[in-house]
Amino acid sequence: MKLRLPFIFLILGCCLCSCEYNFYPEGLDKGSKLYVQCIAGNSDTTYINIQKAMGINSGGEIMPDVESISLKINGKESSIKKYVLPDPPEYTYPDYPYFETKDSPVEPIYIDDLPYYILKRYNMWYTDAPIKEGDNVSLEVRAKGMEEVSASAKVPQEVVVKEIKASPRCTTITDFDFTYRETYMSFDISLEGASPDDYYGITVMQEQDNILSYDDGRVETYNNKGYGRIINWSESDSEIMSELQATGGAWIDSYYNGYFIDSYGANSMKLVSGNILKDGHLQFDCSIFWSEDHESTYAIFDEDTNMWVDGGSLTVTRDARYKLLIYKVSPEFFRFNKAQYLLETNYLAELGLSPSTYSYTNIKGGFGVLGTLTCTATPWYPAPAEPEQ
Amino acid sequence: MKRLIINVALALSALISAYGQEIERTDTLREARIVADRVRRDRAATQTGLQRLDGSILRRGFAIFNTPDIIKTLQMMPGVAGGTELMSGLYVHGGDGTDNLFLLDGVPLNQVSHLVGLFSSFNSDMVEELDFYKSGFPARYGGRMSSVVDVRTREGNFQEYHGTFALGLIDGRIQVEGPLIKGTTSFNVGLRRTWSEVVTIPAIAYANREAVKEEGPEMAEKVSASYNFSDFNLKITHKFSNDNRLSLNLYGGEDRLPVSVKTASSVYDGGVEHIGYDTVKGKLQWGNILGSLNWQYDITDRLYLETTAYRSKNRNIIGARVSVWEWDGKDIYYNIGEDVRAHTTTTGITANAYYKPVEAHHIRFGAMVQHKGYAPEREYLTESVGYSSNVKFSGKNDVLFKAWESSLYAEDEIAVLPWLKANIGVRSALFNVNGKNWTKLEPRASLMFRLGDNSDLKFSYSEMNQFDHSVATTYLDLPTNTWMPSTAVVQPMFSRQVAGGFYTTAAPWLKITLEGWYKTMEHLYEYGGPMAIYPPIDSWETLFTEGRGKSWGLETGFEMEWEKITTQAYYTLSWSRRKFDDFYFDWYPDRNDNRHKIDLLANWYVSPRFELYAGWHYHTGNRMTAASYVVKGKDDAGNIYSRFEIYDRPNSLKLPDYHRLDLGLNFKRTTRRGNESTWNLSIYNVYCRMNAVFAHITEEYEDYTTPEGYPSSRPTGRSIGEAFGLIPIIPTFGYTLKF
Repeated sequence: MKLRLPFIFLILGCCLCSCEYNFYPEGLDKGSKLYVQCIAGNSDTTYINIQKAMGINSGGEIMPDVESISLKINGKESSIKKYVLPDPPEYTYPDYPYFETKDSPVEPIYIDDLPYYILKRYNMWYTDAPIKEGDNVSLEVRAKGMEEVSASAKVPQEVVVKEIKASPRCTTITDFDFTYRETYMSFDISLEGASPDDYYGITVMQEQDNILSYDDGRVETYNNKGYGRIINWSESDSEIMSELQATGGAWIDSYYNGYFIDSYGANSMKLVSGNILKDGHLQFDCSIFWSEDHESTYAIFDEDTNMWVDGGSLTVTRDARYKLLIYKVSPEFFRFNKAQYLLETNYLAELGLSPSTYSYTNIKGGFGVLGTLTCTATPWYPAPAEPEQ
Repeated sequence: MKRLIINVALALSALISAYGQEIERTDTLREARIVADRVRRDRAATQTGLQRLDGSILRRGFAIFNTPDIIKTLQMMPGVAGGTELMSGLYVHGGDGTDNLFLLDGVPLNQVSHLVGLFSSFNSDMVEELDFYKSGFPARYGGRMSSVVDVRTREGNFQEYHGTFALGLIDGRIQVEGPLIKGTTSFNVGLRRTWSEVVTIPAIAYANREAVKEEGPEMAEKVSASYNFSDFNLKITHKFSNDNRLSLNLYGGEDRLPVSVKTASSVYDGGVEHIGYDTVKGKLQWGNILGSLNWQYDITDRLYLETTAYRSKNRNIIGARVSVWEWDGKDIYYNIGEDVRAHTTTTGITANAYYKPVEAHHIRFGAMVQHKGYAPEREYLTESVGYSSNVKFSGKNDVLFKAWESSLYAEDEIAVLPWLKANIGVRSALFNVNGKNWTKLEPRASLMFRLGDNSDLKFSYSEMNQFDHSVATTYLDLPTNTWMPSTAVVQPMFSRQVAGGFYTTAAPWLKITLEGWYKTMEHLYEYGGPMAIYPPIDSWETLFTEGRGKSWGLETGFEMEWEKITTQAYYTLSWSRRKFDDFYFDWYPDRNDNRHKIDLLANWYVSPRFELYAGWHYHTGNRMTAASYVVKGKDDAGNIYSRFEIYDRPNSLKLPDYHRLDLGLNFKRTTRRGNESTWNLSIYNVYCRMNAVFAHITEEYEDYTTPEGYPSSRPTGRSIGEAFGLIPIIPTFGYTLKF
């Protein structure tokens, strides 16, 4: 009997306990560190973006007061200049005139004299010093009141393309509630000296001239441009993740960090690890613009009857072309972008139920990346007609 | 914390109050003998890091859901982290939980848990004893990197029939043993199964019936779901003579979760109602099946031979079918389905010999050959039936690896001097998979210095290789996980460990151990791909990234055994680090880097009819990765145009510390037929500490009143962690009858 009383107290005590709580995590009120991104490649301009990473519970000025930047190529100091945003360009993008205003968040870059748009580059410096394959690049940045950061990297050798095979394909996709036809170009790029330890990048640029020739002699021309969507999917491995898909979302665009990587404008680059190459062949599928030539009719608006009426016939000619940018990138560049992609997509990791949530960096004393790459561009190839099912 | 202190105080007061009662001093001889035997055996072992538990100890411990659990008992041992609460994780000396060698009567077992890790696969009623090695591995063990759990099942009674029947909150179990041929052949059979369907099936049937009442028989939704697990052990032993015996061991364990939902919908066409059904069917099934034949023969007084032939199969099956009905002048269906299956089979034979040429040498040597098959596959089907353009899209991805693993070992337990004993051994392993050969030589050594009658010093060195890799995309023990072999790309995992310790029986009732270890691990693999539940079958070699690990620490144990009270106090101070270059350039904490771990356990045999148990468990919080920096971009006009977070290193966030109190009591009585029956009441997590299973960082908001007088909330500028605890207080009761 005497045993019962303490147990009653014990059970009562349990019932009074609360079952929920928040907590203040340790170590989130850290100081600030420099966040530096620099991608050095075989182009004529190398940009350096410098920002401030603040402890998640810290306040204060969000931009760093940069005191000095040193970029050495093979030990030789290069001249660094502050990047100044260009004036808005002339009206060149009829579909999105907002892009041409001063308030626009984007600025154009020109590839083969055609404008492509990226986020505006604030807090950016650059050097015109030429960089080539095999160069050693080192970077040091100092900012007021912050730890100095440094990094070094070697520019990889350019890829040597032995052969490029491209064949148009078509297949039928059945999704949960509808079925559709997907056409794509299947690429097989044979690389010389490809190694499983190397990392590669691919960008497919594409362009299409739409020429409308009316029967009354008028000719209208529109131009579309963009990047091919690499899908890497085939009948044999549908829905199975591959390394290409794993890193496929790691688009190296300016969305994450206000930075674009080089003057080739490779903001739709997809990265792959060399260990997915089969005997030195990089194989992937990509949706592209197709060339086309067909007759059609057009309508004109009759103001007398206030109705659309037949206007006559026209010939639609679509001349499409594509161009491949094939990169070899440094392991640091690959890891940085892959980690960034995983961060954005792995919700299980966010809850601590799966690995792979981290921010890769090779910047000593700070964050960001000093990545290197070399780019090999092919000529523009004419695109074929869309394949039939 | 205040609540914690109050509850611990209450628990202690309960114990102290109870201690004041008059103790009935009967039936303590058996327990005392077990204790003395165990102390003697532990001290006799040359190895460090060895914990020997016999079945009676396992069965008398705390039992959530009235099911004593081997793995949860081992989780309390020093140097072992349990990982996610209530799961069957066993993270030994910084290991990753998939690197423990589980042997059931000498046969390796891959799947060691039921119900996503809630219960271990071992039926404690069948267990005779187990050896748990955390370091100082003898050469006879190999194939896993971090620990060895060598479980031996009991032989049946050769003279009389006995058994145990137990009913818990979720499962029931029965074990029966006795002679098949008196004095010569015995059997011991155990069966365990959940009985929750007794409740869930009628409940679902009732819900379906109610739906029929409301919607009518044609339109009512019909749901069917049930979960169950079961396992079965059988051991038949035949004694040809006292020196010659043959055993047949069978084990089968399986979890099953079938689910189906049938939903009706209708369409009016031409004034006629057309009814069709959408169906969803799912099936999860996973488990092991194992069979072995064991022959033990004392060839001479000095030479003993044990040979085991076995086959073990681990299989996971997940299947789903969805069929969507539509009406287009006729019935049309859209069907999709997916099956994921993973089979791992091991067929092997081992021969172990024990030879004692002279008193100073105890030599063990042996060989093992295993054939392993790893066959994960994924099959999918998508089709439309009845549409104008029917489409069928199906495919299959499968991988088949066949491997041979063989090993030779020899070890000699040498009494070098009266005060010095050594166990020197070497193990040679060969692993062949798809033309790739991995050969490994693993030296093992243990030294024991006798410091008087009651104290020893021990040191050990061991190297271990592991050729099997768990391929999982999450930290959960899901049936989607599978096993794959080392290949030309994926190297065998490797560990090297040195350990040393001081062991003393300071008094007949007090055993103290103090051990330290340092362990390094190479070729660890962790998933580095995008979020996925199904592990990638054909690209796992590239999506898993390679890294290293190291762990070091000190662990101490105080085991006190009096006539009526048994207490254990374990403390571990440890560090566990990882280095994966793909993740981070430097070493970072492992997610189970629990700096401090304390386990306090007490059993009090108040009287032959009444036992009490209390256990308090504490460890520094597990770790997870959270953003710790933020980068904001500002344009020339001062507007913030971008914001992104930086996760500065993996496992940067320490979750709140873990602690809980468990209490249990057994009330025993003797039935009219003279059998022992026990009522058990167990309370898990007595003070309902919602220990964080996971957490996330979010902005902190504070309440305020707007100038217009409306209540509102606004960010404080600080971040807080929101911890999600899943396991509240769990009281359970059960009944056990021994006959």
